[in-house]
Amino acid sequence: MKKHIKIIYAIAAILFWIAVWQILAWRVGKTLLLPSPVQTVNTLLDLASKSDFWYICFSSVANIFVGALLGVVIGIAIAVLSYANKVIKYLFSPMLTLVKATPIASVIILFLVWIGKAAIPFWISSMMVVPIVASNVLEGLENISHDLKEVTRVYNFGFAKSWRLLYRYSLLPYFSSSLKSGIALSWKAGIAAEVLCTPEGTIGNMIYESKVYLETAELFAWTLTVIVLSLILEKAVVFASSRLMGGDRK
Amino acid sequence: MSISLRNITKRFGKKTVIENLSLDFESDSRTAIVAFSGSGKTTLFRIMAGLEKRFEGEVIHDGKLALMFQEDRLFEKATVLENVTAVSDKPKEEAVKLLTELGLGDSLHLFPTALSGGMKRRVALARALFFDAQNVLLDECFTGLDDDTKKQTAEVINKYTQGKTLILITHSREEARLLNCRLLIFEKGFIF
Repeated sequence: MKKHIKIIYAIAAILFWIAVWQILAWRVGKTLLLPSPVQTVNTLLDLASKSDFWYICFSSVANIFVGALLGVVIGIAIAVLSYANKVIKYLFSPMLTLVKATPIASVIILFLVWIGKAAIPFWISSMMVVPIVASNVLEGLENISHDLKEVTRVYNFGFAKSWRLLYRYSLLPYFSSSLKSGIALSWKAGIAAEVLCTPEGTIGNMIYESKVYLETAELFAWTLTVIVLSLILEKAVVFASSRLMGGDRK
Repeated sequence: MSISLRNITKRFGKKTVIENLSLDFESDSRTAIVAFSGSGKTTLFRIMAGLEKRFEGEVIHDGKLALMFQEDRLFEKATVLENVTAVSDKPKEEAVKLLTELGLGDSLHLFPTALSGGMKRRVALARALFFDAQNVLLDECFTGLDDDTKKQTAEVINKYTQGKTLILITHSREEARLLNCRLLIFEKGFIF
């Protein structure tokens, strides 16, 4: 399918669901229960006209994003160490499975007991990324062609040349895919942590307050903000990682 | 002596693939080891190349070894020229010249996925010939080439391996003759 046709289909699908939302909002007829798309956008524009809005967005993005980046670094380190040493691989394996399987809410509550609430979104977003990046990058490392690794040894390639010709291209798809899902998950988990811990000046806190004061349109507007920021972050991170690794040649 | 194999024995479980094999390859010699599929020639190649670690006996190399594997083993995200120049710091022009002599002058900037089987084979060969090594070990280097290209390729190999120790592993005596090699027949783990 041609690219512009795909874009048309995608836009048509989005418009369809916005229309469904609008019809449902008309049928319900109560902003308190279900604000319409127009009301949501108007509320969002109102919020965006205040300087607080941008500070809150920046604060949440910076906190959660830096946490996620730390998670990426830890995930890569675990993957490389696990690849180099089977003992380390088996040592970390149950820990990563545990992190993946544990409900986020349980971890957030546990963290509330252990550490100050302001730091929780940072550590939660970090924790969510680690197992995804570690398992994907490890899989990428394990799938690098054994034959080509032999070639790099036979012809005495140094690390830089092996990285340039073999490792970066073999790892890029695994790394990009882990970033894509990892960043999205950590963002959602970070916002959930903010909602539960309500640190001042964060999107999660604003969502919580909207719920407490029954400002449903604001709740929708903040949720829309979370979705838009998530999409922007995901695209930015995948683009940056691709550039960082030299990009794909074909 | 350029390469020496001393009492090499290789077993896979209870099956003995190579038994007490000793061979010497003199410096500046040209040898073809002719073997058929399943005779253990790839195992012998890997032992000679120092890639096989578990075997009895000893392999002694005098100088560096350039290898052409039975598989092409090209880097897919590197162009033909980059695949060749990656193995040596020699000027790029020399790689261009070598590839042109092998009939790949028009394909320097193509990626391996755009090449035919025979072209990939010649790129792998060019990489081995471009590497600065005293010993050259080629495994089935003519696979996928038609008769005319085989002759052209053989001339290039002969030119670039002058003064070096050449070992060819092949199933074909005719290919061994193209490279003026002395013949050794490898069968059931023994050399005849």
